Amino acid sequence: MTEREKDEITDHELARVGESLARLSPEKPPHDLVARTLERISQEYKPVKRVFFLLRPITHPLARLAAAATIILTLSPLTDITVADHLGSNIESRIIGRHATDRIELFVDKLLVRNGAPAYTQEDLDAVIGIPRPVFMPVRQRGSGQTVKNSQI
Amino acid sequence: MTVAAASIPGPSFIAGLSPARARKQVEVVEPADEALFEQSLNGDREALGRLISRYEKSLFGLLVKMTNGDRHRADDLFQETFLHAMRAAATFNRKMNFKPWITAIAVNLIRDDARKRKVRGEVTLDGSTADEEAPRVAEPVAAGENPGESAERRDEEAYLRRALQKLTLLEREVVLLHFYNGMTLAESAQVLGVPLGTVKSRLHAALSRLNTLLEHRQE
Repeated sequence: MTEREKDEITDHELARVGESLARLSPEKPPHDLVARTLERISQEYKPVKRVFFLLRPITHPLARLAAAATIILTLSPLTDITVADHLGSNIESRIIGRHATDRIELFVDKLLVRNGAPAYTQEDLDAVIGIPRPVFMPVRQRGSGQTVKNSQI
Repeated sequence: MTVAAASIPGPSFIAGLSPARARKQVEVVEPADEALFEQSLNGDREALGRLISRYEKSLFGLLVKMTNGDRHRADDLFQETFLHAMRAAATFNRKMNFKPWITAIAVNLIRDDARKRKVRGEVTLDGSTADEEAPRVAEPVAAGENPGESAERRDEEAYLRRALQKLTLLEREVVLLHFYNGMTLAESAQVLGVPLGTVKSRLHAALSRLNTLLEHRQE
């Protein structure tokens, strides 16, 4: 207690009571209190490694709602095909590049063909839509190098 | 943190120095509470052990007196205090002192515990319980004090303890923090989370009440 604070208790009687309190004998802690406290902490507390803040899990309920709303608002413009197309072509031309895009498309096509056998043929599709399937016939060469139209065969 | 040179078995280079020099050396060697806490958070068990040892007497003593002498509750609350401190490390302001912060955690735990006990019907918030018969450590006779004086002192102390139990929890907090734990009024205000003026008025009210109780005894 500093002198200034002592002066704040101007009543002599009250100051005397305060001094009696200050003279109260200290409590002797159990001899193994520190060891038991350490043991309890080591059982229940595991130090958390520092993780970059963007990679930490969001634990607060309101923060989770805010994060979900942010994701929805960010992605919602992509439901408009014009915006998505514009964005896709920008990514293709400015970020990924034509060559890389082609390779990715090729890869995806192969993957789809290999892993997912088509459940219908083009003929089936055309029939459903109602397009009469044209009969494609080979275009053969005449002897002089002239071609022959389908109608002429 | 200042540590009395005499109480430290200390490195050999301290031997042979004057007490003042030795104390300065010890101050240099002994890391601050805040530094020890930082090391504890990084998994340094030894640093945590040293930190707990530093607060063993003062914090345990405060808890025993706040719980009206219930040493078992104080033991549990002491462990809880450091467990909460480790969990709530993110709320520790590095510019703040560790002592008021850890004491504030202890005080809040006592309040929570008292509230739960009140709900369960075990205790009233102003503290009167069956803890009065909690065992006390036998006080040795102080140097230069004859057994008669010692017995009288113990008797007075026992009466003061009983008088303390008659205070409300809020009053008991403020007198114990200030007089028993040696905190300044500003630190007490920080621990209790109330303005300085409130601490002063509570302290005055508590001392007046204690004074009245002690006067009744003399009558």
